[in-house]
Amino acid sequence: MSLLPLGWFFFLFFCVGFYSLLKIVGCGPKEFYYHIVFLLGWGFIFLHFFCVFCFLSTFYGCGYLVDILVFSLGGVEIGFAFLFDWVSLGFFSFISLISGIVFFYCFFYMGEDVLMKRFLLVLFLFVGSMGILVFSGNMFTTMVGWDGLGLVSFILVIYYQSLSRVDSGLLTVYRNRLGDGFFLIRFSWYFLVGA
Amino acid sequence: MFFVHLWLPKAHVEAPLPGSMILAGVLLKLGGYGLVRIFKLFSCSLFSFRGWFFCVGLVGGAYVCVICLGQVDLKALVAYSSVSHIGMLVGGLMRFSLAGLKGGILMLVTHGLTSSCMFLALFLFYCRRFSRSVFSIKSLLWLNPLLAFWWFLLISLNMGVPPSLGFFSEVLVLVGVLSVWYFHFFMCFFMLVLVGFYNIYLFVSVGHGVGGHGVRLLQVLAREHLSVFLHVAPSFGLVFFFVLLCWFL
Repeated sequence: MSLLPLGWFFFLFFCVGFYSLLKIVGCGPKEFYYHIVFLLGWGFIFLHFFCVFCFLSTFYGCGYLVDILVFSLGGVEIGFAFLFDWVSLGFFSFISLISGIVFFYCFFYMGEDVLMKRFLLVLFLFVGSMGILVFSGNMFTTMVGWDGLGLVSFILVIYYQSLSRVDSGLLTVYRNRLGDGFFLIRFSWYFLVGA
Repeated sequence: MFFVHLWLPKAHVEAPLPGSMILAGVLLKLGGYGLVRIFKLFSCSLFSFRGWFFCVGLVGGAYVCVICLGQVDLKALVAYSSVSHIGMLVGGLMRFSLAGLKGGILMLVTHGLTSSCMFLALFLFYCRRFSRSVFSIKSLLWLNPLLAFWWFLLISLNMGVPPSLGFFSEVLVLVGVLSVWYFHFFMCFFMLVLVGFYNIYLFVSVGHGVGGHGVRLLQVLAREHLSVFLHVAPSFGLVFFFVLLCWFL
């Protein structure tokens, strides 16, 4: 159960990232998105192999819970917790594989788009929210991921400006908010019953 | 609160910008301050009436949210949103407990920052388009993406997205209200959901849509961005202040 082999992965990852950053610094605006998409796409595909490696070797049969208490007031304790075990790593390995492919694909599909920067940012936030939701270890972190997922998916759906997109986006975010209301009630009720 | 603050939108739509900002950001909070000061004094007499206050605060807040969804004047919408938030404050205070009190005070702080900033961001439109109607103010995501980003942050602060201060205040108020009786969640639930609904409606009507005729890219000055930023940043930054406060208490 040693975390030592992970160090080599991080070393490799930072080497590739540093090389890509060097290329990004000295390029024009046209090549900029090419390098960004290259970095994000290969980064997520690398993350896929990293997660698969982790849950096959280090996290096989065990898990790590990272618990960070943010505040505690009158019995109300709220903090971040991230759970790394084979379930969450397995889920995130597929998420990262698919999002890496999506990043490559959006370069061909939306490469001519004027607002490419916004699209890449929102897509990255979407994947990040999914990551928070998958690795969440308590109710508060789940709610952070859930709310982020709802709002960011809303921004993604209404990316093009037309009425039908607004309808679909509102349907998405209103259902999300409905769930969020139940989450809030449940979250507050946990403090009262101590579950 | 539903019955006693319904004059507020009528005053806001006629007031100039500084008047609106001070009215929403400071003056409404003085009402909450007065409640916090005297509620120990009247806690015995008010205790038997707390169910009425929960009802008027939370169910009335949900009704005000429905009124918000039907507004065409965006300034009136923002004004009605403060009415609904004050309802939640009253619901928290009338529990007469630590969690409800802290939640109410946090609600005052976060709503004071966001609502005055919403009035400011509306005024930036009004200077350039000379209208506050939802039919005229449109397509900000295309006209000025940075201002649309500020609007997005503002509505997420107003609906209490988790890492912000509004979320903690909502949770503390809910802990207070639900500790009286679990079935109070019928009152809280509609309010919580509808707050999200009208905030999303506000963002869609401001940020989205095809601009129509005579559209220029909006030029927003750096000092206007700075003044919006100085409202938004404390709402996230005060979370850390609040955390430090709780550690040292």
